[in-house]
Amino acid sequence: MKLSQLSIGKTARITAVGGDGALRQHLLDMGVIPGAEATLVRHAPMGDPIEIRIHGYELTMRKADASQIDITTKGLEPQTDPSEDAYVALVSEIPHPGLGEGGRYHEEQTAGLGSVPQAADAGEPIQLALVGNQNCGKTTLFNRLTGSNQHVGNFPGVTVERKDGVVKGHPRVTITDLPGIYSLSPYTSEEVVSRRFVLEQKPHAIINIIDTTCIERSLYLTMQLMELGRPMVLALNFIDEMEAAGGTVRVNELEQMLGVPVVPICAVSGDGVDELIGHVLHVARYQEGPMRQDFCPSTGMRSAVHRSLHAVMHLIEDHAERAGIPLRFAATKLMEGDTLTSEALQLSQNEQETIEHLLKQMEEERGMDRQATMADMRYAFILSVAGKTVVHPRESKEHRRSQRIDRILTGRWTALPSFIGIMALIFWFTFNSVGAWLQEIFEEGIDAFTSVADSTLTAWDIAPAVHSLVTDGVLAGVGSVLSFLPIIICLFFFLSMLEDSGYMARIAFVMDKPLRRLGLSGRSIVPLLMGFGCSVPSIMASRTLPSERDRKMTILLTPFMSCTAKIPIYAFFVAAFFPHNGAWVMMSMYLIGIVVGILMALLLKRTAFRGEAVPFVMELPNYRRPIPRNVLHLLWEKAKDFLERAFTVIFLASIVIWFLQTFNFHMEMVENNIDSMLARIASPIAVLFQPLGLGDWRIITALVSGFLAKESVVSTLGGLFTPESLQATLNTVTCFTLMVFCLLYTPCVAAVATVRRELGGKWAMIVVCVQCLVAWLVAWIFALVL
Amino acid sequence: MNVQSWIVLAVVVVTFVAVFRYYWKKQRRGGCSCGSCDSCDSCSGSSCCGIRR
Repeated sequence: MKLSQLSIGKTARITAVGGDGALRQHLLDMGVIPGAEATLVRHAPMGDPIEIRIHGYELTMRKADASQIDITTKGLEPQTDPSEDAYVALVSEIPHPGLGEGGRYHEEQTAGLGSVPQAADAGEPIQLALVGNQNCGKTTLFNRLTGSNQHVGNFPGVTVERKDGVVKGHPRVTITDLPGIYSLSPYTSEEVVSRRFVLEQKPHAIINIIDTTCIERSLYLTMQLMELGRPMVLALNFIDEMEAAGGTVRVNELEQMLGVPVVPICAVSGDGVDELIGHVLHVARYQEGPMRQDFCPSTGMRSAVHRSLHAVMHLIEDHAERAGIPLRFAATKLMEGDTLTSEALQLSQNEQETIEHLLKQMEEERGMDRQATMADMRYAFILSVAGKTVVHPRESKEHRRSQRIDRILTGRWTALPSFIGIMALIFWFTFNSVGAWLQEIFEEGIDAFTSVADSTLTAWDIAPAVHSLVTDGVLAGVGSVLSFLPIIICLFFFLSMLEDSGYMARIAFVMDKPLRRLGLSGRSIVPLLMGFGCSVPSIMASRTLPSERDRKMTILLTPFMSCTAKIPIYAFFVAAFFPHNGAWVMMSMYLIGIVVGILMALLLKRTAFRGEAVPFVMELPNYRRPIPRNVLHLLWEKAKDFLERAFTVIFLASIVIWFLQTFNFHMEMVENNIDSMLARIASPIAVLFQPLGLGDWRIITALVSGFLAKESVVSTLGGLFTPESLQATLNTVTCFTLMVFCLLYTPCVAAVATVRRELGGKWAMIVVCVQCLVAWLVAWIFALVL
Repeated sequence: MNVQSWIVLAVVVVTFVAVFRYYWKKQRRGGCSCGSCDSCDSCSGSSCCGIRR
């Protein structure tokens, strides 16, 4: 029987994991191993993908991938071997081992050596790495340790690039927040960032933060980190959530069994964080590595792994030393078929063949292939440790709440209406209710300030040119953009609520099937939705996609989602031409962007990006209440960012454009703008826009300035047109055509720079050219049809 | 032009130069690609794209 055939609510034991390549390894790393129990929780509304519960957490995968996993519903007893208990020494009620605190480590490690390692000078710089699974609270802990305010969210894969910070109270101690990983076998590009950092930068110590509520899966990465031999401390996050549900972890026993300091913490409240930093500084200064690296039992049914692993370790010892890779880690990765490790080791033909024979023998004895055998060995150790140290809670109230909410938000008949309803509410609140009301108040304030400034300048008898510079240049330019601040803040508020609550992950789950028809994966919905906020972070967010094809396609489609910087453009035209149908025209812009994006996706799928989207394997986090501090901080950051843009790039552009439109090439003030420098420069380009009915040089100037920042379009139009001249130049049709062009033409310079960084200069050029071409074509179609 | 006009013009020009210098330095000094931060040390958090230059 296959996992895809399991009925909802039924539990089965996995007997074999089929498939091949990185996906299979990823599934094994996520705990989908022979012997594990999996329960089918639900199907997505369109029947695919499915959600399973395994090792105490929810995992989603497509039916096609689930059909490669064999299960049995008979004999649900775990595969245990009593003789293997020897490799996890039976302990009961032991005193605190005190690792990372004092001399105990040295007593055991240096017995017979007669000397204790010297601590590094307290003033020497120390580099720490923060490593853990996705969505386990790394960035929250990072913010707590450094006092910084990195963005956190309740979605797997918020951090896509390493971030450094200095630990509060320890000016010489730097900590690096790394993207979340499930193992040291890299599956996505941001996981490569973490693996490289840990392996190549060799931090003085590692803080391995784990989500205690699914400790079994989390310890899988812990074991691989321990194999590196670097000093490390295990931080048990969410211990408060676990204890509230009646569970606990016997910390002393866990510390004793793993041989690394274990500190329970709550990253949100800060409980245990001081103790954690004390331990990690101690192990870093004394270079106290893990006291245990051997997890394979020498007796019992898994002894074949032990024999093979140690044989491989002996064989590659010299290669690992030369390559600077920890021996045990190199051996296990080699046995898993990790190509990066095998290339780095540079083994001879004889050695490769010998290893192959050893692995064949192991596979034969164990009855599983090498990847499954290694994962099984690790999980057997983990389950053995967890069995002795973890008191599993009854179902936590967070999980119960999530299940109840999911019955509606991911229910078969309710998921899509809920999604559409939630998005409609967000847009309604932003553009028609709260946001619009706040914008009116803001606008009134700016108008009052402008009129006070105008009358003051008149009273001072300021020269007309200078008067015009201040009122028509600076105040009209910056003021016209500033008034949109409330709308932008509103939209970001709702987007951050979607992400922090955990609903964003559900949208990916629900939307996977329709997106697959477009050649994308469900995970692409996150960058695309974030594109409604700002293209720069959304292009970055595409790093969580595990295939290059999906990443490229998502990045190319993201700019079609209308970002908040375009809101001022729409609002400017809506106020002038569609005062009674504002909300509908605004909504239509968003819809046109989405429809053109879909058409582009279909075109790309059939041309440049043929093939299938990558598998959808993702953890579904519990719903959590957004933390007000995080949300407020995000809003403050967005407001600051917007204000900075208004007072820098928009301010500069406003003055430059005022200058070019006020003077001619002889530096004389012009009576009519048509004689200005700007008109002379922009007129030749305007010919290209004649078919769209937009052949006015002032419109072209505004569009060019929009490349710097989209808000600039409004400030430029505000400076070049009076309300009367605007009405005389455009009508409702040409205005709509111009709005469509603004919606679709090249992204701003910051977004193009991000595309260049992610995909290279060639793709950045392609994005600029394709977007301009598509914008022209679609606007032309509207000009013809309307 | 009277004295007040010169003063207002001087204020606008000085502000323009100062903002331009700030913007130019920020673009050149490093920090993030999105331009949210002055440098990696003063990363401003969530508005930052996280890409170092």
